[in-house]
Amino acid sequence: MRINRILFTFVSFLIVLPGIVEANHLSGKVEVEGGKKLKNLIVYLEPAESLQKKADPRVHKVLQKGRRYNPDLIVVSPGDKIQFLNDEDREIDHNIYSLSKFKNFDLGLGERGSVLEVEIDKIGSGNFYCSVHRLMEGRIVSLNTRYFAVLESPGNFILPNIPPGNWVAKVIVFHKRYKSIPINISLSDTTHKNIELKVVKK
Amino acid sequence: MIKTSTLLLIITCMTACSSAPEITPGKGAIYGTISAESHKAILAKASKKKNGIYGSVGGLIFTNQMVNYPKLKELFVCLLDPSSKGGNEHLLIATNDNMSLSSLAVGTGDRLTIQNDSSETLTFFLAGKEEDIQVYSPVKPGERSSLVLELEGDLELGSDENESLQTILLSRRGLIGQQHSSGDQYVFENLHPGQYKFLFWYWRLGLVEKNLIIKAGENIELNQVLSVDKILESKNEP
Repeated sequence: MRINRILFTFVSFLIVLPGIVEANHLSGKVEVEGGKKLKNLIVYLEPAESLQKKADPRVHKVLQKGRRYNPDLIVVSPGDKIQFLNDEDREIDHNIYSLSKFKNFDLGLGERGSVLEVEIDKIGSGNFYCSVHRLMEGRIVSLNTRYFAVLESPGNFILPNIPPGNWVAKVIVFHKRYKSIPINISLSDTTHKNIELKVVKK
Repeated sequence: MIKTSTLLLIITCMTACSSAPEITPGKGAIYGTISAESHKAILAKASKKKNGIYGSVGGLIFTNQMVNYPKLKELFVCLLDPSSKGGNEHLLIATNDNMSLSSLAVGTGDRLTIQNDSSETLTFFLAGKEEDIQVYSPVKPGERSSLVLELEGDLELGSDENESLQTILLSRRGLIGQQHSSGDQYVFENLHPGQYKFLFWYWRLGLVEKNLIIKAGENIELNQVLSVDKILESKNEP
């Protein structure tokens, strides 16, 4: 009897354990109207009240070998820097620029081995290009949160270690025919929510 | 030799004469050359170095992986005429692989027609900021669909079914646009005296805006070179 009770307690603990481990994790699914396989969806949590302290700056690296930006989608926060490394295996020059309203910059001549840097100072998004090579194109998305996930296609996501509080869950959709429907969520110390985010046609 | 020199002189005179339009009494005109060129840092290196893409005469050797600025075909010169209500016609052709133009400057009130030369029925849309959307009726292969443009701004024309079919649109109220290749002459004639805005646009580079006052009986020459550095400089003008 006593052994059974100990076993029961142990089994109960194992069942409860995943819930404890996943506390403050947000999981869910992005569903697109009509089942359209949209590429590069960014799921993110924005603080409901804009009181969140500014994120510590980070440095993001972008490679350029083979005349391609890798990665070509960079998610940052204001204060972050992006370094463009010319890692071509032969003498190929690049020039990285953006003329977007979000952030315009021209990093000049980037010879092989060079590292050119730009600091992002606000929220928004914009494309960047190489003025030399026509297929070199990338996008910067600047969010006021570190809680995001980039999905190659619609489906499941997990956002780990979310601080307690009120948040708005959103999806950035690059296909302009579609928009996401935001969801307000409230996370306490021990919650693990499973949400469904809808992306619908405009 | 004399014949060659004479011929060159005649060609030079003809070119000079064709650049300035005839003055119409009571009206004005604007004319000039629109062109695009590589970034100044690349051009500077080309003037010193002679290998790889840097040619032996100080110019660039453009490979098919590069943006060939001297041969760009979608440079737009646009006049914003506040009195214009639109009504210009534009035709885009869709195939299985792409659109006939990757960019187009249009005015609100213009009619935008799409001819579907692909093998499937396509539903095109125009999208702008946030909720801005205009949707075409589905168009079967071999048929056309059109709509009158209502949206203003930087737009994207795409199709629900085929994501490789995209055209970037510059849409402004009162916009009258001309498409040119790099190095072409452009001209806007018979303009009523007044203040106008002119836009020079290449989709990958962005816009240069110029405000000009057109006076009766006056031609204004305005040449514009589009390059990354020149466009950024123009954006930073006070």
